[in-house]
Amino acid sequence: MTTVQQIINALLLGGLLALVALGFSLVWGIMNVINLAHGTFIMLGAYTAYWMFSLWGVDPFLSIPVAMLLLFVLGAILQVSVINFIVRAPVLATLLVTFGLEILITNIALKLWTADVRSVQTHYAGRGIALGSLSIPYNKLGALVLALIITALLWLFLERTKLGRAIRATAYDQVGARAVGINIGRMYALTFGIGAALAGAAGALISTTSAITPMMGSSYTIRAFAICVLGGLGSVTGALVGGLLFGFIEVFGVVWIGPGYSDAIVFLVLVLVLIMRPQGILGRAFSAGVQEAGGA
Amino acid sequence: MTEALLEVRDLRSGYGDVTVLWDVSLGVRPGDFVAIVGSNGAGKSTLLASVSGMLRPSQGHVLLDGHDMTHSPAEAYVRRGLVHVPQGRRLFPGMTVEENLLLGAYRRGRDGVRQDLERVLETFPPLVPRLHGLAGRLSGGEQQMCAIGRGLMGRPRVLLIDELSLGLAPVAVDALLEAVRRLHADGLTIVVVEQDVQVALEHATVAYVLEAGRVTLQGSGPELLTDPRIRAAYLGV
Repeated sequence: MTTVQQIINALLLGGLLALVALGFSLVWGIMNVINLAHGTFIMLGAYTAYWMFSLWGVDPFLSIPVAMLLLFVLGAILQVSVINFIVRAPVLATLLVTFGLEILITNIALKLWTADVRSVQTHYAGRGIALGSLSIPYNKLGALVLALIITALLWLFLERTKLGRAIRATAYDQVGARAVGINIGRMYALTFGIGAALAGAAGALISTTSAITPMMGSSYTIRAFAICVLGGLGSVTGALVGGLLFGFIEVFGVVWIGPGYSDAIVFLVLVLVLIMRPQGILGRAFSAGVQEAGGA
Repeated sequence: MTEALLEVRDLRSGYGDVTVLWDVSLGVRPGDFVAIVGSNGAGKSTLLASVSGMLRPSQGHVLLDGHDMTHSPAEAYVRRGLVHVPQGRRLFPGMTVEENLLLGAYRRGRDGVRQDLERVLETFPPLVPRLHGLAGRLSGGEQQMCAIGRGLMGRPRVLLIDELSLGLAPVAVDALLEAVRRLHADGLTIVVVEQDVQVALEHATVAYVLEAGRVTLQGSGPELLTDPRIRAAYLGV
């Protein structure tokens, strides 16, 4: 394969991974919760697309809104019932609780759907655009385009709408947010719901290219973590840059060093970044302004 | 005596098991400029937080226009026209000054928001060139202007300001006091917590002295300024 093809592959992978990391980054940056159950939301999104395809023949790309809606509701419910107790809690508490959720959701999925590996075989699977020796699969291109559209929409929501502004304000200063009349609990439920919905969308897109199992989630959680560290926390552009970077590292790492080492390469880079630029590549951590609530 | 806009009855409040306020009662009438003075730890900030929904009182009542608001969240107070400008400004540092101000109007509809923004900028002209800069980059005085401006964007009838002058340069304090006095002259009811007793009493139509969580003196500002107990305890004369 040529280098140009590798670059195309890296972009296709990176764009999708940006969406994988986006919700994780949002929840971490705004609520200070490292959500280890993020990958299970991706898994649930993938199963949503799978069942809609196999039961009713719905194209996975059209299942995205359904997956997002279902995961939004699940996320908001989980926030109010469980996550609310660990917002801004010590990091160990957030890790324990979300890790517990991860195990719970994975096992429910195993019980419901067994460990069978499933896949969505659309009529355009395996086909794509051919440019000379280069090829761009339709499903991967579609996933990239939709991932970028959803990422752009989230950015617009956070930057340009009143509600988005209120979410960011909540992250910066809870006391200030309450003083202007923002309901903090509602903002957290909304944020966690959006984080889950983004994971659901990513899962539906992943269903078009990858195998679906109840255990698929954790590898995406780890990648989302690495992307957040690479790109910096909580910002949409950070997730995008981190995701693309991760795509390049994974694709070219496999080419130059060997397919068995892709995880090792990614984590080597991760450790190097943590040592040299702990604030991430963009160097503008969203949570820089986050303050503890308190004071009279 | 006109009907109280804000009425506090036997309010007891604090943090966890620690009671800070003991049976505090006070009234704020429309058009008042109320100063709450007292030494550090007397419970001034706790009082403001407890009458704006930022802190739940453990006993007693807070009435706004006669409605019992004792257990209402801060957003309900904001909706009813009582806005709290918290101690330490509590701006959103990574957002622009304009975004900070617009968030002040969070509980309102879109109507009149732009006009109110213009009015806030007329009240605090130093914010005009800073409008698109980050709030975290403002000087202390400008931050306080932004915080009060953000409060005004909620179209309050009562504005509570916690520590107007704390940590600010004298020039900035003068500008802020002048602005607050003009807001009061235009009809806004103001309650201010202030550690500079002299400054607070000079401006206040009504003043309360808090000591160890209890109201120990009340009267008009000028009256208290000449009270020998105040002069000895707070003014050092």
